[in-house]
Amino acid sequence: MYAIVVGCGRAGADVANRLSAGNHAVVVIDNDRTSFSRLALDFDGTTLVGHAIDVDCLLSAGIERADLLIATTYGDNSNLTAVQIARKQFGVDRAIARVKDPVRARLFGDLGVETLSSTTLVGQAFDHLLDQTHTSSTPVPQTED
Amino acid sequence: MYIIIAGGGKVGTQLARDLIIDGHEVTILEANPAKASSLEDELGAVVLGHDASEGRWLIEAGIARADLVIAVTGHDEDNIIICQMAEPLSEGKARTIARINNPKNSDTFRLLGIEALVDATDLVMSMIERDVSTDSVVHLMRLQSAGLELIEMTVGHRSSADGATPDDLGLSERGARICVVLRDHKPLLPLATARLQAGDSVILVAQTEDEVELRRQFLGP
Repeated sequence: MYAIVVGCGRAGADVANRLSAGNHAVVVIDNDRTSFSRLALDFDGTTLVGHAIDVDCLLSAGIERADLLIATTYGDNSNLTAVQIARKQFGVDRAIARVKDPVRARLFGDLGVETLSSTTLVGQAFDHLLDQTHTSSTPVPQTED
Repeated sequence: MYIIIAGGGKVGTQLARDLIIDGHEVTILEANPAKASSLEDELGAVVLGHDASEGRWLIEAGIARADLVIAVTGHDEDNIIICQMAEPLSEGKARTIARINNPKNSDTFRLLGIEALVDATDLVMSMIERDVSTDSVVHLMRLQSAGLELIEMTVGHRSSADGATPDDLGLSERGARICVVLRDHKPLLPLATARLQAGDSVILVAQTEDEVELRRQFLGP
């Protein structure tokens, strides 16, 4: 599979490392060259300095033959725009945007844009943890009325 | 009208001032707290100090009853996403206008369904063209999606248009229409049978592909 990862922050670097370790061809884009230091020593893909919504930059990254684009920059709007360009202009099979704002994630989900809301995921994970704690191990301290 | 302005920079602020003077109800969203509070000092309680692309603040700003959303932040991706969110959040009732910061992104705006665009570069270019225009042809507005242009031309001496009626020039057959004629700085209603004369300033709507032919007819030798 040929994958483009936009944004090389902690999440982006992690996704890129995993894809590369899984023997996929990976191009990582970030507008700050120093972020590429987050990539693993055995990262086998390529890096490109550029902006997420710049069509020329996406073309240099080989978007015309990409099977997957994952947008993980810190900007929800950049991610949503990059993913829509990938799907609508270049017909990339699958494009997923990381979106922190849950309202935006839901709205664009309804518009058929694939999103992953890190905020909602973390909230759910905490909920799950607390549920487990409450039901199994420590008893919940009761407060007197 | 109820108008939401996203972005309280120079453009957004000036728009807000003008729209308030014109009697519109305005809310302006500006994420930078310092900017937002100085805006509030000037404009009063029409400022929300939050990021317009965060869904909950658009909802808080009353997007459900907005007639118009104007996205004029300094970032194209923000303007795109704000306009796209305005559609479902207002159940399709709010119209949107977006500012383009980087002309390179104009195709992306259109690809994502945002048609009402204000491109500062384009405006400056058209003003320059207007000022330095040597051939008396001025593009007033590009109605690109319809393939139409709004053009201003001055009728030249001994041109085909000099002394001719719009019918003589076959304008209606080509789908072109004179909107107004300015003669000695006075506007005249263009009648199909009224004759144009040299020195008339004519504003017309025409198909883009007919422009060269029109230029030949109106400007003459």
